[in-house]
Amino acid sequence: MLRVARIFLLKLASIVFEAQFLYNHNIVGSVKKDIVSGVNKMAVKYQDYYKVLGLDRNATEKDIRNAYRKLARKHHPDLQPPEKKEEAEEQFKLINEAYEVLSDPEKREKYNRLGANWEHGDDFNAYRDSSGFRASDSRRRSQQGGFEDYTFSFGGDRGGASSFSDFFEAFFGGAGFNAEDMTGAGRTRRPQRGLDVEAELQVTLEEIYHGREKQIQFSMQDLCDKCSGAGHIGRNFCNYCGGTGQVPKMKNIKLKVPRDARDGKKIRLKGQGGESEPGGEQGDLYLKIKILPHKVYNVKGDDLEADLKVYPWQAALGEKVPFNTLDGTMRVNIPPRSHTGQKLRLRDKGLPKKDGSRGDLYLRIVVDLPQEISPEEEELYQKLAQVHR
Amino acid sequence: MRRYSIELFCFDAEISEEEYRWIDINRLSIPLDLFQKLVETGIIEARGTQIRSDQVHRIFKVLRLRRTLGINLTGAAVILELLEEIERLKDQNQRLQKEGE
Repeated sequence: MLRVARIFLLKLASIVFEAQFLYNHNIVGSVKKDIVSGVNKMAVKYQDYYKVLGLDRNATEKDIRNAYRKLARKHHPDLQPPEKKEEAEEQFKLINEAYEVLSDPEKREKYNRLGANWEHGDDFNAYRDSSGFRASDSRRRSQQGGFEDYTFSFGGDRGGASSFSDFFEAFFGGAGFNAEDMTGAGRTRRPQRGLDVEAELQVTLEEIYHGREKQIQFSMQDLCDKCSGAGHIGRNFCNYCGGTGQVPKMKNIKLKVPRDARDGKKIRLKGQGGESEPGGEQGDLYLKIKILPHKVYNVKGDDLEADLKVYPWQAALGEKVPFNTLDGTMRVNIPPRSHTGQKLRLRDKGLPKKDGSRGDLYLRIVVDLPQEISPEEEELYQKLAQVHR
Repeated sequence: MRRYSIELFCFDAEISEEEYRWIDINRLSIPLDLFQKLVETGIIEARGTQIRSDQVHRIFKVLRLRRTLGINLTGAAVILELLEEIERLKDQNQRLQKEGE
């Protein structure tokens, strides 16, 4: 009867798992749609690309490249510590955007013409269709070239949101792809495998002992699926990730802490790492285990160590004292004439092992006095002192 | 900033004994000559045409550095090593600080 119930529960769990998975994928889909519809705003903030790169309008091509390199070095997300990465990414995208426009004589000229007409910082309306600034012509050229679809699927109608500013979008309509840059993009190759991702899983000793279910949330940097992590498509910056090659992704994971979880060991969740190109194999997710410090126990492999405080008379005469083990309170036998530093071994009271057996618990005796000593006790200690002399 | 959220339920998490896996470079759309250069500069470790799965991100990082900052592969490899060393030292520093408290 019990076994039947267990099988039923397992089945139920797997159904819930599948349903949740499908459900969540739908959520991801709808979020994407929202972003796409949100981009069609008409009012766009003017971006002064010269100001971004700290240049004046007469800057030469060399000036522009040098200024870009200098700033890119400073704000390159790959060179930033994790806590500053996000901030740097935003900055880097803007720099990339400015460089994308100013480094291309044709685009720069277009931008210069526009810059004369609009005051700095003013909002303006972009009449996309009549302005002729859309990149649709270059896109058509690409399509005639017969290149694979995914490389420019976010050109004019864009399959996803763009990291370049709305200003950039309005005038250069996605990253303007040059057909000649795309040469070779259409050659057949196998779809790329997703990245392996590593994250930390913090667990307590109790969670290991009970094999508790645990829910964690973390954000990971996945490869941008438009430029496959390169940050570039052809000669232009990828406008999906803004040239950073990475996109942030949040993950929620619920798992049962394995009983043989130890510091530094890894849990591998197959296929839960980075996204791959369509048809490719997903990367794996590695959860590196970090056992949080426990206020009583120290972990030594499968064994646990703890201090056991005993009073002088308990150490001298021997006594059974209670101690909280992972399994609950136990009475520990302190042998007479025990000294500080002596260790007691409680067999099979340590951490659970994979094969079902257990490590041991070592108790280190520490002889200590009670916090308060009554006058009566003091008298006895004095007597003791006299006897000892 | 786009944030995707993925929810995952896993009831049979198991400790993985292997340190890393080896994957074929053909799965990674990397030209063969670039692959050879990456191995020569020590950016990745190779076994035949296979590379360690935990080093894949290094490839993309050096390529991005090369592209955006105009650093050659050797220079990018040095930067990579230094960044990892800094990361390691920061971790260690944090651990020591915590232990000291």
